[in-house]
Amino acid sequence: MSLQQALDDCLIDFDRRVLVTDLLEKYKLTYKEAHETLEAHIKEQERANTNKFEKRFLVHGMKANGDGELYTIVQGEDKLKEWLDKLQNSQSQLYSVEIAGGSKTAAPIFKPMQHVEVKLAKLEQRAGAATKPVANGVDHKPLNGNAVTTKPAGVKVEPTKATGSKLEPTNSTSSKVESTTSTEEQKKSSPTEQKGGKGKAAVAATKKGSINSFFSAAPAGKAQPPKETKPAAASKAASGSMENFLKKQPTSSESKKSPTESVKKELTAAANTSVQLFDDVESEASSDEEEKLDKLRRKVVGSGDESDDGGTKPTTSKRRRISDSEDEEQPQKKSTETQSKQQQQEEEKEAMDVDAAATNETFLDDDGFVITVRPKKQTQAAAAATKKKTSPTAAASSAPTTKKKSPPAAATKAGKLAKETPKTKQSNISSFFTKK
Amino acid sequence: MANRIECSYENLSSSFLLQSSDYQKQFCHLYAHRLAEMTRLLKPLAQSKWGEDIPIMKLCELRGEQDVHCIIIGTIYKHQAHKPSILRDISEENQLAPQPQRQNYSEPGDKVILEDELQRARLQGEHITGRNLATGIVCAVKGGTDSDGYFNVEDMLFYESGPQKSLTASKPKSKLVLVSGLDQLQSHNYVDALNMFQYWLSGSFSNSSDAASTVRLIVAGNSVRNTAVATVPTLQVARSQANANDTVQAVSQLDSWFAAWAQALHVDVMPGAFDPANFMLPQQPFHKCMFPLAGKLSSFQAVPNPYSCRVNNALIVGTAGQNIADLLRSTGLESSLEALRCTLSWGHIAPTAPDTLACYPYIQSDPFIMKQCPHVYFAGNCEKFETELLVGSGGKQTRLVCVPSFSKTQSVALVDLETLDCREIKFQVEAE
Repeated sequence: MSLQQALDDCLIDFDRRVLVTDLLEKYKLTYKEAHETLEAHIKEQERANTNKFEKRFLVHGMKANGDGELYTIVQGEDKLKEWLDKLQNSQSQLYSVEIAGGSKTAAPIFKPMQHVEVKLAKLEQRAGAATKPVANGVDHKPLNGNAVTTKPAGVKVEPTKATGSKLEPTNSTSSKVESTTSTEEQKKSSPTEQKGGKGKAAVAATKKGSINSFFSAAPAGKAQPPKETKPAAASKAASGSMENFLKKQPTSSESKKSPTESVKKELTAAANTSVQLFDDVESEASSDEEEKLDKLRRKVVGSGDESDDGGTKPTTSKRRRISDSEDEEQPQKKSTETQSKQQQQEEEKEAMDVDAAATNETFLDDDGFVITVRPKKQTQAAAAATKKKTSPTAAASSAPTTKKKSPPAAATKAGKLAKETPKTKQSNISSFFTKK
Repeated sequence: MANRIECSYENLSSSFLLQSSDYQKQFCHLYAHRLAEMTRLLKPLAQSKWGEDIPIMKLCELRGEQDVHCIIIGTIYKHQAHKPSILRDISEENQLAPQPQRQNYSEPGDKVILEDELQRARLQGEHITGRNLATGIVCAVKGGTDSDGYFNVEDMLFYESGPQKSLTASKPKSKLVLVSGLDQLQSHNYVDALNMFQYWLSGSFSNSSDAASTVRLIVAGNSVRNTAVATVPTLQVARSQANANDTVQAVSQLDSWFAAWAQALHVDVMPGAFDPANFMLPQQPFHKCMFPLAGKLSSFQAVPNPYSCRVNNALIVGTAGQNIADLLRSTGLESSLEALRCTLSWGHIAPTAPDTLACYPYIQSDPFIMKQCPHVYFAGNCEKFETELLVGSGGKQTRLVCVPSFSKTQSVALVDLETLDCREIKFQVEAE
């Protein structure tokens, strides 16, 4: 819309002071054009109506004493004439207009100009001014040092594979069978491989600090499944449920986790490892069968922790809780432990496994007694396991469960064993706490 | 729509940009370097003026001998009874009521002493007008010692800012606008004047031919405020916070002003004494984050104070006025123009730094020495507009400009960089 049209349509409110400079900004005119249009309109208005306008003029001229140039704003035509006489080479233009006797004008506000009549030939944007957003003057550059930077997933996966391959020599040191089983499982389950690598990466990222090591211990355990399978693979004496458990673990993770999911989980794990751990538990514990397996595994892990705790790491209740909820086991730092201790652990786990399997057969009879019937295989296996046992603590570890779940009427071999348990149980608990 | 003419430009202010910020050093290094540097510059001048017959000696070489006619090059130290002293302030804090600060602490009885590297001697003579000298000036004096230990001065020589490149006539006439003391916080008092100024810059007032030749605008300090922040002993925290908010808003407003003006011409903004910048000279350029809008335009730049540049072969040097204000306090000089002229003839932008004017403790140089005589030499934030074309030895011509504070006078200075003509452009509103 042109200025003339706006004036004709009475869109300009002269009750307020109207500056010519405002008009030239709004209608993109030169000062001369705006001034002439406005002046013509006002003269016309004054001729037609009784409206009178208060006009202010911009007077420009040289001072008489040669003191320089002057731009001044004068009000009214009388003053204008006075100033035009006073200055040399003077000229005047309309500066502002308002209705005479109108409301008091508001305090003037300085508006930076946008419309430029003489502009720079090469007005350039400074390089990088528009493209580089700055938040509080801080550039988001990757920092060296301890700062954790978020990298693309691909970048993270690479070191995990490398670390996964690094783990292999440590496994191979224990025994050939172990190393083969571990490599087989690694080949089978790429997600677990990724998990293990991720865990290693997390360990590398957060090596120091107790809390960091606490969180890093859990994912590091994900590299452990091969190691945790050691006792089962080596002894072959474990129960069928234990075998199922061992078979199910990689398959369940394989079936449920697509590679993309695993990558996603890696990302979340990078952000917060503990969250990732619980997510794993939630996703895996969907079916009843798997829940049972989880229980089994937790018990195995729990007993393993008990025996491990005395060796290298102090166990806290919190940590225990985390490791229980977690599907994985302790970080593999146990390769340096003695062979005898490993054997002892294996035997303990077998015993625990046997006992745990026995609980599956517990039921209430017609008289309301709790009866536990064990499968023969398991009892035999348990007997074989107990025969192998050398330490009294290991024997005690199997006893509590049998005693609890065997009814008084049932006088089996297991019952005999149960009679021996009270002493050994006490000693086991006391030794457990002393170890702690 | 007309285009503004293009001209060559070179920023020569790199010597005023601090490379490090080590404030632990003593100021003696600065004086030592000033004396060494200016001795090197003054020696040939002294020999050419007074002849090589008169030896240039050190004060320690006189060894109390009388009637030795020689030239001594040294630094003036003016012993002033009323000079502000931090030690005296501290001692008075303990015991006595604080003395009212003097606007001018120069007195006829001030003693003028000349110091060289090792020794000092009190100067006397007809040429010595103590009131018009200041501490920190390096000069060569010709004369001899007397029995009272005075050095009787027969003649004095100042560096006069060194040689000057001749100003070649440039085809497109270029002009420079100098403005200072925009004082954004008080700008509501002169909105119309500011409005006229910006449309004058843009060439809207039938001045497009003049505007087209105006190539650069230098804002010489005190753009945010023109006076010191009032310090009130009580409620200091609340007060300072209020002031901080004011300052932030003022800088934001200034950013929009400069962004608008930089569309019309090149704008160089210097910090001033009361701006949110470092206190010591040389004041460093405003950080670019302070002007996010204007900073996007390549035609806008924040520059240090003092500022030096070359536009169309004309060397322009100027400050935001702290050096002149300090000289007016410590000497008997009566006007800013006189003080500006003196600093040019002494060959030093801020001779009273670091004595009574805060200055960075340089240890390897004195960047305030004027080794090349400027064509335009200005000081901002003066009481009124003053100008003079100073013709020095060898036909050197320098346009001295005392740029008035816009908030006080609503005027700017326009300098023709070819003819070195300068005039004041005043924007005023007659009282209604």
